[in-house]
Amino acid sequence: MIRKELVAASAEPLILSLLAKGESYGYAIIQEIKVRSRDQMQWTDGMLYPVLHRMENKGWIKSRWAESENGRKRKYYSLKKDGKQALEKHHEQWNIVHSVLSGLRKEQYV
Amino acid sequence: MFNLDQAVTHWRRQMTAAGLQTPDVLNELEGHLREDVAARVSAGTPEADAFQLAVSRIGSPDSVGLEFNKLCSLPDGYVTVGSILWLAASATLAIFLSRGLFAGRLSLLLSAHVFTLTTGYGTALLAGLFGIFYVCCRSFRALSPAGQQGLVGAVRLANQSAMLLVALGLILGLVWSKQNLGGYLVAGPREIGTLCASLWLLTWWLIQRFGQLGDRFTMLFSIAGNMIVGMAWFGAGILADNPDLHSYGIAGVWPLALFMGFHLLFLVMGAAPGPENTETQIGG
Repeated sequence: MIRKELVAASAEPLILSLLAKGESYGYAIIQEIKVRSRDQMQWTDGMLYPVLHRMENKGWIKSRWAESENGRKRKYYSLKKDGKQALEKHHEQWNIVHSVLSGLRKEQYV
Repeated sequence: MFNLDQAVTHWRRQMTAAGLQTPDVLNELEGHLREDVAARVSAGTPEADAFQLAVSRIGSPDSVGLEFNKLCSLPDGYVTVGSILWLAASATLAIFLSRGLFAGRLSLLLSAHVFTLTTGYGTALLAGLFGIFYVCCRSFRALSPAGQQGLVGAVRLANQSAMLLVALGLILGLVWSKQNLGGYLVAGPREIGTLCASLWLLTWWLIQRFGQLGDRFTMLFSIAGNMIVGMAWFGAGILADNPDLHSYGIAGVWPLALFMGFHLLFLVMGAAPGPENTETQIGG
């Protein structure tokens, strides 16, 4: 299981990356992260929504209510232009962390 | 017999009691809860158990309520009040200047110069006041992440507006000086002060635009900006040949020294390490 601090730090880039593929809603986002991480990333479901609302306040994403296939109303989120820029920044920063970590790991085996 | 609708209604009441009063948020969370229950039921879990599991996955009402309360925009009201005061002061100044204009005491050029420069300085001072407000809130952890974003946004907007107004006021002043004093620049303390303030505001804007200035440093820059504007406006006035002109009660050295000391205090408080806003801990 991945440490909760790392899960928290990766929440925004992961949400932005998922929304870059197309609009989605809270429950589907959680399910997709669960599947992709093979259950290694445990999100507290209720905590996703404050993160989504904060990202909306920042102007990264926008939301709209729409009726789902089962007739229930769902709030769909999609990426805005600022969100794409924020995602690029996140990618740059995570790449730096990844390259530093990989470089140090390689040096251990030299 | 378990009744899902009744259970959801009871759960909504608990969420409301924990501070989640917004129907939009409650509807979204309820939608999530119902989706989770439906998925578990279709996987073979009894509805009552599915509901309990789904509720525990969402988290306790207190913890969810706490995270949403962090999003409340505390300074929105203060930003609105500050903006209204700014508009009222600008309107009063415009009325005062237009009276002088219509009475023939002031030319249109001079009125426009005084209006743009005064509102520009006033806007920069407003940004500094927001900075002081930020430092106070930071000390008492009274600022939500969203509130902080709102305040930083207001300061950036105020700084850009101040930069444009002061620059315009400076240009109008130079033109007026050419028409009435024979040269664009007479190198008086007020002109030099305005030039310094313009350069400061421009530099700050460039750092924000092309650099990586964090929220705290944006606020500290706004407080430092108040000191620059204070020196440019009131300090230059003290050095000028006619110190009583546009002194606004800050005619001596001591009021200006107090003004500087007050801002320096908040600069030090803001620069000192302190509690920062924590982000939502999504990890379970």
